[in-house]
Amino acid sequence: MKNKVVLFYPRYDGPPLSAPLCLLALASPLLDAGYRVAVIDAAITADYESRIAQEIADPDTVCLGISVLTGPMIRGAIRVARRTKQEHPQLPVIFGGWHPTLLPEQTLQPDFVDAIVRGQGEVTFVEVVERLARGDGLEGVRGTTHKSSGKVVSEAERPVVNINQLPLPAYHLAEHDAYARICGIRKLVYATSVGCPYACHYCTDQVFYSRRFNALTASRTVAEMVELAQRYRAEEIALLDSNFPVDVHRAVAIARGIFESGVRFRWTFQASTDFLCRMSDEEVQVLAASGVTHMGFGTESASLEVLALMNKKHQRIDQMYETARKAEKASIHLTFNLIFGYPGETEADRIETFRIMGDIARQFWNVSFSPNIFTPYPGIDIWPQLRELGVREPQSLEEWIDLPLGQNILPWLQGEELRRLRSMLEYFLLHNQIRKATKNSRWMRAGLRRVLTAPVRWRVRTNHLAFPWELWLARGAEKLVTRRSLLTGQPLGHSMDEVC
Amino acid sequence: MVDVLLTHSYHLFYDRKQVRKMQPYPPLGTLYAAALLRQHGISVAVFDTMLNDPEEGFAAALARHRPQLVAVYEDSFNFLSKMCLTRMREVAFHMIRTARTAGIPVVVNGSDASDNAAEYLQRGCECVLLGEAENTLLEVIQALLGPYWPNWDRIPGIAFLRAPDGNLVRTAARPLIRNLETLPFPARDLVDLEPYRKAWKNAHGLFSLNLVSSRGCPYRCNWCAKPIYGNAFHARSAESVAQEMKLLKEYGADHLWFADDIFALKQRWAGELAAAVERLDAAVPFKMQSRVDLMTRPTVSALRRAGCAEVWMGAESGSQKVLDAMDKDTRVEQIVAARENLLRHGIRACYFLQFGYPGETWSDIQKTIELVRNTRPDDIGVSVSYPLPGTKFYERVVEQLGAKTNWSDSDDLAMMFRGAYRDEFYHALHDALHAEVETWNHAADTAAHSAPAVQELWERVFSLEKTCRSQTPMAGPRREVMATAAQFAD
Repeated sequence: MKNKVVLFYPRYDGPPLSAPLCLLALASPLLDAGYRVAVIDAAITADYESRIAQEIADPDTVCLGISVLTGPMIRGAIRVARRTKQEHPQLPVIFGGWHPTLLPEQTLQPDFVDAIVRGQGEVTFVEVVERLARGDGLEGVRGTTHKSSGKVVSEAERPVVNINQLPLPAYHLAEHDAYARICGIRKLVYATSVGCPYACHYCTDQVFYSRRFNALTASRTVAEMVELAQRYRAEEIALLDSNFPVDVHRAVAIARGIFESGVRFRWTFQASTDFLCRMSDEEVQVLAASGVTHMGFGTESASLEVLALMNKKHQRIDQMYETARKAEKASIHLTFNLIFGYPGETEADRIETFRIMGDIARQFWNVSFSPNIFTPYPGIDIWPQLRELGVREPQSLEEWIDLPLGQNILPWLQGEELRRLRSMLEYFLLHNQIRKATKNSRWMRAGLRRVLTAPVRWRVRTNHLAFPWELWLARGAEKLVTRRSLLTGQPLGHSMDEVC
Repeated sequence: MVDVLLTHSYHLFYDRKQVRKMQPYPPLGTLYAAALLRQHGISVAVFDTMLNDPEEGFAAALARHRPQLVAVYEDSFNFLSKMCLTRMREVAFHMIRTARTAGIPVVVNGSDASDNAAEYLQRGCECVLLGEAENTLLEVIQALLGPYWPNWDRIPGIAFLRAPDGNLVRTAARPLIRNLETLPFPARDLVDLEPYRKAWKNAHGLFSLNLVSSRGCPYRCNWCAKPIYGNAFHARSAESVAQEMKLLKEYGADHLWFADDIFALKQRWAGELAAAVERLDAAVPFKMQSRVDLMTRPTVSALRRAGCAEVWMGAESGSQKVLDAMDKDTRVEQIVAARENLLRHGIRACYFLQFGYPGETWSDIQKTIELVRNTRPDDIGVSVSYPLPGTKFYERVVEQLGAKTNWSDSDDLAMMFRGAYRDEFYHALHDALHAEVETWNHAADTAAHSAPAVQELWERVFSLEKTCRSQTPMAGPRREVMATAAQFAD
């Protein structure tokens, strides 16, 4: 019987964080079921197409699985799937991941895709592989959408399993040295939970996990993280959880367990802005002592009106200050993610966000920002409203290639409106950057910064944006960090044009 | 040859008041650290400066033990170490210099080093261990003894100078040890107890040893800094404490001092201790410190069964207004009640008193004198408010602090900020009140303790009260943080 599965992770824009956790997680139950698994990540495999061709030439290959996020990953997925179908028309090609789950029928339309695994894939995919290995069809396999004699069949949803029942992802399959060479640091990604209890309108998480926080126990998390850090000599572990500290007691217990293990490594996570406030100052310091160096917060806006529009009323302004204060006291860096251009947001709302965020940054040295233009991902529940507002929804798998995070397809944010937002944003970031960095830089740049400080502060406060001579001057000397990884706080290589 | 030489900087003979009192105790905090290291397979020697000459003796200890590392690890259970006296800081600096000259790396822990890490680091120690540091010391030493130079960033609870710019870096604060049972008993076998026994027997006719049953204090008196054990309270099991009492009894101790910030916080624990002590026949008369509101009748009777002979309580003031301003969270009536409960069980009741709190007036001072006269404590410790780093009060008066920010020894009693009266007045008050209490508790046979001598001292207080008023005392009362040395006095 055939016993081999090939998994492919197409190239995302930007450098990889680490090995693709989704595929390692998928590989683990397959290995348990007795299959061989080849994982190919385009980020570290320059000749990935020939590598895949080589792997699938193996007659034992059951199928090719490809994980896809909305945006540029689709391009690589399509190229590889198409070529595979040309060379091995009988070999099933299965798509899974966020994008296919959100738009299964549309994704299944091209003839180079045979089936979609929707949602959490660990259980479903093993069942899919077992069927295919026996030469059977996928009728009745819950959580799949597949073609049956040319017709698209959508099977019933598979309930999300408690992730404590799933094995540790197959980290041993990844070439950790290759990622270390590219990233310059030995880093792992890991997830202690899936799901988030909130239902922010811009977010796709609820579509996958139905607002259920599904988390590993603290003791298993500690044992696995400590073991991984030691086995792979990781300097840092980035948690991919949607909202790590939802269970505050669990989060603190994990930190305490890592601290008490005596194994020292850095770790980072992302969260919504309210949970840190439920920890005592001492508990936040336990996070720091256990190695937390950065936290990313999906703050998105500081305008109460916009937060209400986003269905994000659980987040209060005072919690943003309190979060920054607690983190500063424990010397943990944090990044506030901001979304601009949400439908219904006015310029007054943006000014309010800049004002409050600027104030927080003045009070707390450890704060950075990562502003983004609102990206309407597939499957979010405000699409009817967006269509009414004139947003053109991509109509095919190919068209979604051009919608990476931050791509501006918002008809209400163009022309003069967009130009003013860009100026405000640039002044805001410049203001925070020169305020932070004046101390230790060379005298010429320091001098320039000193000259700029007063007028830039005035601009940010009063919102006078005409004749932006400071920006022209600063562009020569400053490299503005416009976007940051919410997981690790690292600057992402994007120009201002790509942000807006 | 050993891996680590542990030492500390408190030398009794550099502190004239303590020479008079002659109550030396082995460096308990240092011995706890030594015990933990030894438990983890690190060979340890201790050079104890309490009674040994800290300069020549340290050089000799270096030559004798040839350690790979030196740790100046202060006894943070001893209030004398916690006072951050400048004379002892000089000793620590001297040790750093001596060890460095011999090419041996040094790490430092203590209240003063935690508050002034930069000073110590600039003297050449590799890193300062901040706060409670047994586990930090273990981790640092394991790293230093390992094959690679340590990555200091990764070790929680230290301060170090980052190469090459020399910026001071403090790593994440280390959480407190929650389960004290994980620590072995202090390594008392590493110090010579004989000189202590002799000193005690000669001066007092008995031999006293120290131990602790808990760490930290959960109360928030707003003048108190807790740089080592924080605001949490963690207690050992009563059983283990009774076993250690038994052990010290076998060492020949006639008396024990519990160096806890606050002893027997919980009534139930006091009962468990009494039961365990009776079962093990471990009772030795002991002294400890607590709060007036904790001296309830059940607690006091349990303490009596466990051997308690003397309780020191932070009475602080006889003025409710001052107690409230301190966030002391006690009432004057509770002082009176505690004194009565202790009297009934034959336990000596002693007060810590504090003068000079901002907003304190002559009438408040008189209320305190009244309280002492009415309740007749067996002993008192008088001090003046003292701004400790890390308290809000310190931040507020930091501009008033002159070049002198620490007392040189424990008899100094200088006002470090602008109080309602000048130093002279508080010194006179201290002398008069002490002398009066002495007259009750000793036969008034010496001239100094006779009633006329005391009256003379009071006359001096009354006259200084008029002449020593500060021109611009700090406005008060403020509900802000003050620091005191009352808990350190006598």
